[in-house]
Amino acid sequence: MVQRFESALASDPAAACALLAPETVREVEDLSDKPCVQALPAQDLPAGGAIDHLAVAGHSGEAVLAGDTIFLALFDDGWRVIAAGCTAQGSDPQRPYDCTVKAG
Amino acid sequence: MNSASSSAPRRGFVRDNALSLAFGAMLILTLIGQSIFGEVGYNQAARTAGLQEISWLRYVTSSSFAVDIAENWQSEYLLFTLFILLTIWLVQRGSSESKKPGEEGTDSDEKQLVDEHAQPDSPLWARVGGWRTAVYSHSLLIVMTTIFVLSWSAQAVAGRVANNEERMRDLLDPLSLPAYLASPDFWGRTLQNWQSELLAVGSMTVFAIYLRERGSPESKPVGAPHEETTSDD
Repeated sequence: MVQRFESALASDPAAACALLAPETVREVEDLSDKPCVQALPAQDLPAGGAIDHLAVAGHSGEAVLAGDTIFLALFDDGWRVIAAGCTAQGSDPQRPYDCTVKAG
Repeated sequence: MNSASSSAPRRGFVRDNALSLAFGAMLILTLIGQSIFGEVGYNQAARTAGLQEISWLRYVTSSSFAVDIAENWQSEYLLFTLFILLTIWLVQRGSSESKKPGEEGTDSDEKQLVDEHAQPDSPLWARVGGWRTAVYSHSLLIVMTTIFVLSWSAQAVAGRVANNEERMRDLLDPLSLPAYLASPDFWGRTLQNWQSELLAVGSMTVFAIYLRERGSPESKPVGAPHEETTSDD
């Protein structure tokens, strides 16, 4: 799913938007006042590249890629991206990632 | 010495096991209640975050439910394990929960009815001597300690998953098991349960010096003096 999202980001915004969690789609559209398919490419999310490692706990997940970190949540119809374009803020494990795209 | 219990007439399974059955039934009812309200709470948090709500069945198989159960179970078993162990060596003068002052220790074989002092109806492992009698002499503590260790371990494993689920929901990296075992979530869950158990048993031990509950084996007879340490005389 992570790789599908990454490849869709480059070529198929509609498919990428379909892999976002509903709350994340809403936030993307609210912030830009455009539909997701137009707003998401404008976010200039970094190319993720190869998966370094995946972590899953319950209904949450994190995918650390060569060029990006994305956070995931499990829905009835599969995993969805809740945040992408995320960078760590220093070495403090209690500081959340700063994400370009995320739920409100 | 123990003939009173063995010679008591049997009155049917339910009446003879009413205490265990009552606690078993209450345990099941409270577990069901905990699962229902726990699922509601889990789904409220999921709804707030715009995430997927889950069914009751998924909730009762989740780490969130498991850690909430395990953290309470481990503390209960630890507390009773400690109480069994400490009451061998420590006394509380006047308490019905204590041995008499001066009787600290593991008692003689004669008093414990083991080896040549065993009675015909003593359990087999109390009669045979050797390692089996040694093991049986501590079987209660062995089982209670084992359940404590298993439930505390379950708390650690399930707690880490539940905590990491929340952490990643909050855009934080998940914690490794060693990091979780040093985290405030693990020790907060652990110590809040330990202190409440210690308070309850410690206060009951002291209350039992001065207060009575007529008919309860946990109490001295109503007219027994405060200085009398055990109700088993």
